[in-house]
Amino acid sequence: MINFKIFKYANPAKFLNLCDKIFIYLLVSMIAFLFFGLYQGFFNSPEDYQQGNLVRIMYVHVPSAWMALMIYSSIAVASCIYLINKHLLANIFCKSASLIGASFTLIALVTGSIWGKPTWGTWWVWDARITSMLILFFLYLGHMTIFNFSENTTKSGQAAALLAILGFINIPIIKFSVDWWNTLHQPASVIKLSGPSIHSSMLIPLLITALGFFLYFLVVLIIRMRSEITNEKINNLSFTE
Amino acid sequence: MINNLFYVVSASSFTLLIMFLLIVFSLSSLKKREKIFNKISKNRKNE
Amino acid sequence: MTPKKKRFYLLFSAFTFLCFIVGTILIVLQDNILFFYTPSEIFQKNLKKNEKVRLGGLVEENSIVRNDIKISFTITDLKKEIEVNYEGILPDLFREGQGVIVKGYLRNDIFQATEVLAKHDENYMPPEIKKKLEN
Repeated sequence: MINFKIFKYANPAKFLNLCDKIFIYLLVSMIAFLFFGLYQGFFNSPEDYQQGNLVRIMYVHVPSAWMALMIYSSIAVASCIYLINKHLLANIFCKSASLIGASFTLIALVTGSIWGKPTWGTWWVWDARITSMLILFFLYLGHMTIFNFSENTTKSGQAAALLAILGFINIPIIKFSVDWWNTLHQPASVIKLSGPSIHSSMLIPLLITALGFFLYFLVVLIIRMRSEITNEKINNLSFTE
Repeated sequence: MINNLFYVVSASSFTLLIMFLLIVFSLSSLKKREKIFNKISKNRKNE
Repeated sequence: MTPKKKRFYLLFSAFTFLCFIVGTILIVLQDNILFFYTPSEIFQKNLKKNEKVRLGGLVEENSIVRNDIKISFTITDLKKEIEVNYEGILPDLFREGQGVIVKGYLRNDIFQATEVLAKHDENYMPPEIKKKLEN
């Protein structure tokens, strides 16, 4: 198939080398973006004309939900690469990223619930957006469980990759659920054809926080992938003994 | 108003708590595995 | 065909097949996924007596009548409207012109609500900007 240049880093040793080089920059910029974005969002952005201060929950809820979808999509892509090209590193990525994605999904569900109570008047409803987000959470849990079935990451990775790819169909359903059906959720505000319907004084802190969340994902991902690679090395050593 | 602030504070503190716990959990598992790995590779060299 | 290509086509066809199945299920179940009906939709449905449904629309301007804890208002989708009676606590965002969803049943063409949820719109802006837009 196609040989991408990026596959040069498919070698775990080379990959870890690259990670070492960029890790400190990622960490510093993550702290800067998170701190600045959240500070702007919580203390330095205007109240909403309808929700007042409650709109500030958006600065943690929306980036978490975006990250949950983004991480799942990247796991699905990596799963394809693993199943088709058999790159070990893609499998390690899937195994490491899953818990991060599940955490962000949980955050999105819980903060959404806390946001829903005072604004909509309910903690939980079974509307299409919330239900499909809950399904995403279960997909993440299933994905992690499959990896725990056996010590052999190569074997369990194939089953997990298949689940991740088939479950990817849920992602467009989550994204477009608010447009396709009547839901309690409002239609999309930021990512839509007609441009964002959210005022720039709120949009900018939101995007900065979202970037901070993304950098956080990369930082935790590097830690977890290093941990998984070490685990593989341990398994190989004890296997050859 | 105090009521609304309570919702905002609980949502954001929950988020930061989970993010903090995840980073601590990942770091501790990395340290644990590196320790085991160093032990095994040392044993192998001695053999 | 190389094994690599074979795996690719296998994966691709499995995913396409799943898309068709899920798509079909969603279309068949469309009625159940809908969280609420609009006033025009609800009149077209033959509801059983006291069947619980959700009704969604805008609260008509100047239609809110408060009588102690009892409240009545009109929900409209700008084509048809329904009068709603409700007793209980209203959410923060409930006001005239706001989108709401009420749960309850239809009796003599008047909707008896047991639960009122406010719908938020997709616009976020500071109050000053909103004022400027209105003027």
